[in-house]
Amino acid sequence: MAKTTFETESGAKVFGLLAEFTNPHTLTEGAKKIRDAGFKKWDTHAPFPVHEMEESMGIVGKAIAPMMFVIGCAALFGAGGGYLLQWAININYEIIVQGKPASSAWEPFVPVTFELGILCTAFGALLAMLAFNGLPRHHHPLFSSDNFLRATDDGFFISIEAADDKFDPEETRKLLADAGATSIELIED
Amino acid sequence: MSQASVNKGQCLSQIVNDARLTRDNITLVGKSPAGLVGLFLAVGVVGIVLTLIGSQVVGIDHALAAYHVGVMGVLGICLGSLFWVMLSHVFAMTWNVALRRQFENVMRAMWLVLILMLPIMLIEVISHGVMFTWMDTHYVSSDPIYVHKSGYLNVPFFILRFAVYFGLWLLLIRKFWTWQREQDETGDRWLSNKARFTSSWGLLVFGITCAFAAFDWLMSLDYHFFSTMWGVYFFAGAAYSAMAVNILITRGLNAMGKMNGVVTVEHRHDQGKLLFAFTVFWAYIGFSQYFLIWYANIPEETSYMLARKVNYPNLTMALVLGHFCLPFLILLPRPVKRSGMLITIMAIWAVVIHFIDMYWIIRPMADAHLTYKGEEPLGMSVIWLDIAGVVGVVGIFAAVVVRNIFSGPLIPVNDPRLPGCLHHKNYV
Repeated sequence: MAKTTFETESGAKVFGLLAEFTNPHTLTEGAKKIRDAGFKKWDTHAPFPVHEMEESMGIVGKAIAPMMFVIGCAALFGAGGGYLLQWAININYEIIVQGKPASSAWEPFVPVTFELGILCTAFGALLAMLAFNGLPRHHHPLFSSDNFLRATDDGFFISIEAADDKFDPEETRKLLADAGATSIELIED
Repeated sequence: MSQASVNKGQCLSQIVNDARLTRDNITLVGKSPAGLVGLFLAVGVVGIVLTLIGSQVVGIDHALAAYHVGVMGVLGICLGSLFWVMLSHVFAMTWNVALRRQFENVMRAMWLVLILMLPIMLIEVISHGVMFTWMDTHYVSSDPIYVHKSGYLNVPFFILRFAVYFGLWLLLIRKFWTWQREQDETGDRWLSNKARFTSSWGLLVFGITCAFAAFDWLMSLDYHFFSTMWGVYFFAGAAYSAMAVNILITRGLNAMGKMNGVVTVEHRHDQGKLLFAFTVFWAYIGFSQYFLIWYANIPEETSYMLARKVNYPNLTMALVLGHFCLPFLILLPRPVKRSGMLITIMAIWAVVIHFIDMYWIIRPMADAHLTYKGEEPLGMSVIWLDIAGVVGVVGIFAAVVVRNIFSGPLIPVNDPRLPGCLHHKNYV
């Protein structure tokens, strides 16, 4: 499907719409309407975790599954790599410690395999978290709205990106107003 | 104090208005425990009688070893439940308030473990050691390893420690249970704080007594052997099996149509997480103990592992696979922990493997003594006696626990954290 881009009268590219809600309850109700309208590239912003927001946004488990796959790969890479590393250095030059030949014992290989597995899992989890969140980044178009700064204080927002297939400047604005937004502003990219 | 009474008032009104907390849902009123208690008691008595017959037909060593496996297994379950109760109090856990009563019902059976321990203590002391060969002073007085340990391993001190361990455990259990019952009636939220304070030093007492009890009743079976990780190893199995028993009781109550909406899939998920966590913890401790013994290569220590790896290779592999590999892989995915059927199967399996773990510890030691005395080792023969010893103890223990469960409300009805527990939810 060809991607439609939207521009303002001055020619700036449109990032999307930012709608403000008065409290977590209206935000949750608004999010359910946006979810039911079938939007994909949108988000909610609140100063504190709002319970059951995943259900209201319809994203339960969807974000975590690919991340878990990455972490699982990192774990297998770490454990497998850790074992292969020891195997490789022992195959041509066997190091016998305390009369225990490495080729006939599996015990000495466990700590390094285990520790590298844990280490790579931890790094994998951290890096996957950053990558899936699109971090680190210096700026986000939403920060151009002074009002949006209140998302860390007392503001509740829904932002819908223009990149979403269902986005339409007029229709989406109307939908947000119907969903209970008190003010809606256009965000330039 | 006015603030406190306001909070208490709010808390109680929330509870009273909750549709899930009907008398029918959170008590077993109108149901009789007689059938279940009778069944378990009958199984237990049959097991004990078979063990007694076995002690005459097969031999006192074998019968006592089988009985020891059962007693140590239920001791672990009892102590683990005490641990979980204290852990809930000390961290002011909200999510497991509705589960805590079932831990309490299990830990309250500690008096039974004391009674079950008495025959072992009596037989060992009177006969100068059937399993605890170090009690035979004529036999060990020339053994320099024993002489070095005789300051700790002597019969009077052994009996004193036995009394101290059970004294402290029963004291802690009595305190917690008295406060719980009082809170059920009065709703005094400050009792939760009392329990929290007691748990803070109770956990310390528990850690030390649990470790030393494991040294006394399991490690000293082979008095040459020593392992500083022994206490942690026993504790890991205890906490694991206690969580499994808790899962089984709550699943059983759910199957009886009780605690609907009170203990939900969210609580089950967390029980599953902890069962998984202690699967890994047990393996970590078990391997660490094995690994330290393996690379240090000291004869007193390696003899322990050799006796199991060489004489009981299948049992050792069963433990590695059944206590770690399989539960680890099966319990890892989230849907398994949330599935009622699968988590029940895994909990049953956890209890079974816990007893196999105790069997793996105790039985080879009975063998070692026989070999040392020049008699035929038992091996894995006469398995019916091993099963009878465990089933006998477990049957009686289960009967007491079932009686405890039927004796009152199924949850701490006036716990100040109960409303939070009812709204518990996992976000990950």
